[in-house]
Amino acid sequence: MEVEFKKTHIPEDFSKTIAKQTFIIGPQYVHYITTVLFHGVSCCLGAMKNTQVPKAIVFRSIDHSFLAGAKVEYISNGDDPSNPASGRWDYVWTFYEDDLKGADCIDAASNSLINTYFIQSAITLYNMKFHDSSICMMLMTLMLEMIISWLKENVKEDDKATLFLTGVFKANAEVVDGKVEMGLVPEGEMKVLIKDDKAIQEA
Amino acid sequence: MDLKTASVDGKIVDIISEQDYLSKWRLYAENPSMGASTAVEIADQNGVKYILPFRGKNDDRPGVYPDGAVYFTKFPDSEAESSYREDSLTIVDFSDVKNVADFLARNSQIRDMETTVLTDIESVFSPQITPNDSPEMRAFKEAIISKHMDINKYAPRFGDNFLNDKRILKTSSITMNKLVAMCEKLDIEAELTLRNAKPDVANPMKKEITVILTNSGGDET
Repeated sequence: MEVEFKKTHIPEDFSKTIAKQTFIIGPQYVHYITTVLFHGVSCCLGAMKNTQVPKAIVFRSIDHSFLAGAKVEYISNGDDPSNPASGRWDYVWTFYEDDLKGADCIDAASNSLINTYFIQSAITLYNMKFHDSSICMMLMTLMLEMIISWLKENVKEDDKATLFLTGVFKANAEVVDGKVEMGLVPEGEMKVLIKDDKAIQEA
Repeated sequence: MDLKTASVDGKIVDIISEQDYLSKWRLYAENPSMGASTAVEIADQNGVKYILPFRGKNDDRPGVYPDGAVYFTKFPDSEAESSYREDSLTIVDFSDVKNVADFLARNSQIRDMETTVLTDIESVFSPQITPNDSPEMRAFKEAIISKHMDINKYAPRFGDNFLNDKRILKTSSITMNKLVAMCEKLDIEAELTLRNAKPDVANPMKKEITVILTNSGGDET
């Protein structure tokens, strides 16, 4: 099954969950939070990227377990390793911590700089601001938890589960040897943010 | 005194900074009427400052649209820009008032501003006079009709109760208290005269008694 994010119960569930913390975000705006998550991380990694060492941002749950991470790595073409324009930037998201081995990882929750990227992305994309910006990281973490839950709930032995938000991300899960394997891919527009320094400066 | 006032969208509004709004946003969320006469000073991404009033969900004009934990800002397009840009609006600023004379002068500026707003009529309000109207209600409705005014412009003076009060004008009677209160809000002076019902009544009053009911008048003649 392949379902568009806005057509799932995630917006409703997300809205209800944060309402318990006395924060209200209408279901109709929940996909804005998803877009801000990917846009903010893409802009942040775009600003931090380094040709010498892969850079990654890690999201953990409240019990410190790994939820997801995003990594940007320079792949040199070998001709001129010192010239960034000669290689390419590989930008990936993952649900597995092992995929980030060797990268310089930053814990999203313990780095306030990342929060500022989310705040800026919300303004740039939607002229949307948070009444209390300290809840931003909680919203992003909750969003990832909900995406993971949806994938796990909807994957079947004989049917892959795919969740997508056009222009933002595509996540999928399938059962391989009795085990659920999940993947998360940022869409083209988000990849452009990593590669286009001008776009990042303007964001 | 950290208070700025301006006329935006034909309404007198108090201006607060975005920082001030963020520190009190829950108060505004719980008391929507607080936002009715308030606008927020917000800079766009180029640093241009705008005075943006709070808006409801069904609005689409430039303004601040609070929605739970977030709020959206809609900046004006180039055509409407001058109606919201801080540097194009007349703003009465009390923050640098030095003495009472200064204070009174600025208050007078606000009164002038209000007069301009109240006389800028979008639609004249004419309550319907019916045969069932009590005499005091008939007089009140006639007074409103002869003012040739847009009652909606007076809404900030009525506060939360505006729509309920306006609805009274669809009925045929009004209590003395309500009549006095509404007259005061509409700048109408109400007077009550007591005199002998007929010249030959028993125990006649020796004089007519007239009092001004509005604005704590009470001057007796």
